[in-house]
Amino acid sequence: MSAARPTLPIADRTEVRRTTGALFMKHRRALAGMAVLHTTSAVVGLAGPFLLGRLVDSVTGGTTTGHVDTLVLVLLAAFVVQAVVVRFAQKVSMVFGEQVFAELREDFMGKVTRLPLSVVETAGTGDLLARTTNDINKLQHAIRFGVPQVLVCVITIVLTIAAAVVVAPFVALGLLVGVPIAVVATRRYLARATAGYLRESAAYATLNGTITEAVEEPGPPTPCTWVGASAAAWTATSARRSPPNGSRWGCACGSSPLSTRRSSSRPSRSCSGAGG
Amino acid sequence: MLVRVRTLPLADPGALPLTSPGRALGWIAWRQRGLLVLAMLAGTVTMLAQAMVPLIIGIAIDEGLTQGFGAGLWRWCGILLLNAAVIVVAGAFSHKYDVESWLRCAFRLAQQLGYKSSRSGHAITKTLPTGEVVAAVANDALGIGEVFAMAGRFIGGLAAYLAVAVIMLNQSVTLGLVVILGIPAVAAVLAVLVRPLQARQAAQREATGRLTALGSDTVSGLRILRGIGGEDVFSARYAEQSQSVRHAGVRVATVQSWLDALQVLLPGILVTVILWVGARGAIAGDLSVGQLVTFYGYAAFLGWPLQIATQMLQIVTRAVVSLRKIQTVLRVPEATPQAAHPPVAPPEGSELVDETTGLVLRPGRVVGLVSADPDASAALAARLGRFDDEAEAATPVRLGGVLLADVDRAHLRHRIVVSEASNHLFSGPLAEELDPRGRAVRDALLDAIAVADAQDVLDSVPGGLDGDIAEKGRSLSGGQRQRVALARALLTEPEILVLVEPTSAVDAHTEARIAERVARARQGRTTLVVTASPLVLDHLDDVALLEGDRIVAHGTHADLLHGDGDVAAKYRAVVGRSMSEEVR
Repeated sequence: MSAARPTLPIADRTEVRRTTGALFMKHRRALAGMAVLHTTSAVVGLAGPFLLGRLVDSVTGGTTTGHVDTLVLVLLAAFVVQAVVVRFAQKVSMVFGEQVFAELREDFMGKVTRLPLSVVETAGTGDLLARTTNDINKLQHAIRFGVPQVLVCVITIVLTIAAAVVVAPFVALGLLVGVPIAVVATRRYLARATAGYLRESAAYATLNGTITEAVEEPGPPTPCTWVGASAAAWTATSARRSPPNGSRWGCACGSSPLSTRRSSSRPSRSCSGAGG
Repeated sequence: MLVRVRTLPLADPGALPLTSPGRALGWIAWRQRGLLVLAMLAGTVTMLAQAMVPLIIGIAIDEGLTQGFGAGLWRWCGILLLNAAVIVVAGAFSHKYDVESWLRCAFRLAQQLGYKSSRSGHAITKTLPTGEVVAAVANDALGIGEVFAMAGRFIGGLAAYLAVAVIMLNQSVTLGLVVILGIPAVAAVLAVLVRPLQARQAAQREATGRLTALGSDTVSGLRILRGIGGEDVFSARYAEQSQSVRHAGVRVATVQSWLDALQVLLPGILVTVILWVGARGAIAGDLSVGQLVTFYGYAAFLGWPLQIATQMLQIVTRAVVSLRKIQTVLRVPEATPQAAHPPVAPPEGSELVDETTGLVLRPGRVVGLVSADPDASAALAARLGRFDDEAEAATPVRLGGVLLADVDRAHLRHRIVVSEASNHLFSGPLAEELDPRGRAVRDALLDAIAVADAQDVLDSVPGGLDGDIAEKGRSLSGGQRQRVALARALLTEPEILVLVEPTSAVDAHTEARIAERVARARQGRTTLVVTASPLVLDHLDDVALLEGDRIVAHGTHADLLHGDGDVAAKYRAVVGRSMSEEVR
């Protein structure tokens, strides 16, 4: 139903890349700081599996309790260090996210008030409202949780594979067994996700716009079918998407409540599947 | 897609209990119990299969260490692969059911809110700001849905915790106890931080709500802002509020980062203790190496259910707040409440009487209402439609002797339709706009358009009847909006139709055409037209003159216009003013 309705333009890839690039350049120092913190936490997080290997080796080969005590103390120290680093890394990322987010929305509103009236009014309040709320929320989510998570995941993967290659190159090959599946699945997901999320945003715009209309001008005859229409648009996209901004309230690892699935069981925060 | 998604919207969203958030949550769960059970089953299978991984790996290591690359090792590797397949399949189902539970709950609430806001009339805007109602749909309904999106995995996590506890107790009582007592202890410590976190999140949410309200005010009032050059003032105010949202966000970040750090540290300490006790046990020969690896795996694995539990606690706490907000919206008393036992509806062809002014609408007559004070006649017309029982209590209107407030509301809405002067159009296809009840055939729509002289609308909306009208009909001119609204009112085909200034925004020629066609279309059916235009009045059966709060004269337009005396002079004064305006 919203197909025929004119909406505000949606930026193409080049423009998105350019804007993202500009944002990165503008905040490169802060981003570099965050990268260092998250890298450190990922590196320290690998101490667990490493020390476990040492313990298993020494226990198999025969050892003293003194040696075990030392290794365990090192492990404890690693967790303490990791916790401290995580504390600062998360704090810095979130504060940074708030700052960028505030800049974005203020800039956005400044531009909206200067848009030609005809553009705003044909697009409808719903579309504009959705962009000032849902869309910016999602962006904030990406900055706050997404960027650090990707960073930590990449570092963890690289270091794990490197360590495995050093220890036993042949066994390290086993780590790569899942790669083809992951590549195919991710490609499939990415090919479909953007369209799905765009449809979802459009459905939100309809939903918010319709409820605003219904509340602002109550009077007969009332549109009793409005929720039905929006719901239909919404249902169409529901199959392949997860909650949009569910995770503003989540904890470090959980982006959205539906994306906290983990495939491994390491003690540190680990990568979620692509399904989020 | 694994299984077809059940259709939305729900045929019957039900009525949310308004007594307490807890009961409301229970009610939602019961309404979607089937889906909830499926989600919990899939979540439990997924989590239990995950919980088996450390156990299988431990056994495989022991097999490998004792027998080398033998049948035992291969068997356990095969089992591990099988287990992984179970995780993948059950995980996919679990995700699907989670999303579905989430949407179902969110829509159940959104539908009720939508119904409420379209039925409660003026009452809702009197009690609550629009932003609050929109937020209830956009944020609160979705937030409550998260409880159900999480429920499957929460139950699965609980099952996994219990399963791991049993396995570990079987292998080593000491280590089993460390895990069984350690996990709840860690959860309790983390739970302590949840309350301050929630408080700060609530503060940020409130600030965000104000920001959204400010933003939507700016967007919807942009035309006015432009006119008075107020853009910069508004931008500055928005920026100021945006900064307070940011500061609230920084306060959230402080607590959240501590919670994150503790989520690393506390399970870390647990892992360390388990490894320490386990390694000493292995040296003493009480434990195999495989078991040591299993214990390590479990200590690490349990951090996951722990995280789910912490998240669930946060989601539920927030859902309780959201439910309260939704219940507040749903509790708004309707402007025209439905009587519990409405009396038998007055028969068709009953007289409609406004007791205050003495106006009587006789069945089958097409009547005009003229007043020197347009507000007085508009108010009279409005109360004929019963929009607000409380406000209209002092000015009773009766249909066939029965008070309008007592009549069954839905029944009344079909019999009496009032089309007010400021008509609101809704976004959507033109055909739906004209006929929201979806009863008329296309020819009827075209007839009504012809009566309202609105053919030009058909041409200006791309796609004609199927073309979309923008929000509030902004894509149409003022005159077009008025004529669309007139056609919409005519199409409801009510027993009694009240039209307020239906032609105020069109030129004289069009007005004359519309007046003639409307009078013909409504001939023999009770109709009241509030107007001062002689072009319209000329076509009506009868005209009533309202002065002060009484009907002071009755008669045909010609009689009143050419009559003698005080009253006729007053009539000429009102109608004449309108005439000279038209000439001008």
